[in-house]
Amino acid sequence: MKQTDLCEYSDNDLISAVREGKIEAFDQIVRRYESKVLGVLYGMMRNSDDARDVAQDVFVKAYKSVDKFRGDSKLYTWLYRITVNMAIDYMRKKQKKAKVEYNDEVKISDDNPAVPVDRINPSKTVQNKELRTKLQEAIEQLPEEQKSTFVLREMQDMSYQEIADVMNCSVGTVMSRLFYARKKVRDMIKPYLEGVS
Amino acid sequence: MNKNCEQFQILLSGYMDGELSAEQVKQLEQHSASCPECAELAADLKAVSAVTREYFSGVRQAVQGISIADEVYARLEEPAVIPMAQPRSRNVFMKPWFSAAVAAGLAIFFGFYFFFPSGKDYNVSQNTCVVDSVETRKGSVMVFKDSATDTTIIWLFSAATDMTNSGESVS
Repeated sequence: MKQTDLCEYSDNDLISAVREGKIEAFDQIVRRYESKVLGVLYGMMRNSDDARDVAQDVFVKAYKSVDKFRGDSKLYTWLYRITVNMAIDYMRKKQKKAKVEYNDEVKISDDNPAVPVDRINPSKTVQNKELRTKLQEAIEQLPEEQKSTFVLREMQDMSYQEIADVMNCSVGTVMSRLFYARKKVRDMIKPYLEGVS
Repeated sequence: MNKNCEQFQILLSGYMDGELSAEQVKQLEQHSASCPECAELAADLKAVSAVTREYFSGVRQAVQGISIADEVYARLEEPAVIPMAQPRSRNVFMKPWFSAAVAAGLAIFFGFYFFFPSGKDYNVSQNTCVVDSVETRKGSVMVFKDSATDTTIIWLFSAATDMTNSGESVS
């Protein structure tokens, strides 16, 4: 089976092929969703090495438990659920061992800033670097469930219902978690918000 | 902030994200029009969302060039790790058959001890051989076969005494 053929497979077809023992089909699933999974993990964890490791674990776990995927939800919802659960587990274990390292951040160069300079305040580049740092710290300090909800909404632009499916909670809980997460982030970066709309 | 603010503020995220019902939107907009504090919070949360989305956009771009597919594929091809069998217990006293043997031995021992308490003396000839024996901590039971006299001899040995304790013969 060629990878080019597999590219045209739907998610359900790929899952069926994986269940038949075709490991190449799962490789295609990984390639299809690795950016999304990595994005969520980088958003939640900041430490790029940790994010990579957990992303691998997510797909290995998905492969081993593919029989448990009933197809009631979409494949990416199921993958996000595994991702969020594993990220939360990992962060809790790491927090027990030591304080999270702040130096090993996601590598985003100043040439490609995560927060474009001209969109916020063109005359204050240094301040925008500070904003980026403060934003990362604020996200880092959110409780795990709020952080997961926040990342799924702001990074992946998922609907409340989709987030509720991933987080296994109600839409009302998603709305509440998002409000408190945004409010906490606001409290930490408020001095930098002037002029942003 | 008046007492109604909290119930409206919790809706602010839903309002920003277009997740409220028409009725909720109407109520929230009416409240915000008369509450500068909630209006300011709404503006701040909107700004937080804008800044965060820009930040995450950079994260997404940074992630685009990264692939873990080969590492995952390599891990999936690794032979499954078969859990090592637990080392078998070397403690013979923990074996089920040992308990059964002890129980059987004790049953035989006490059975003969109490039901045939006074065995007669018996001289074992040179033609005698041991047919079976059971040993326990309290003593032993030995079964002899004396071919010269065609006699089966059962000896009960108490561990507390020597081997002269008792003997029973069954012809």
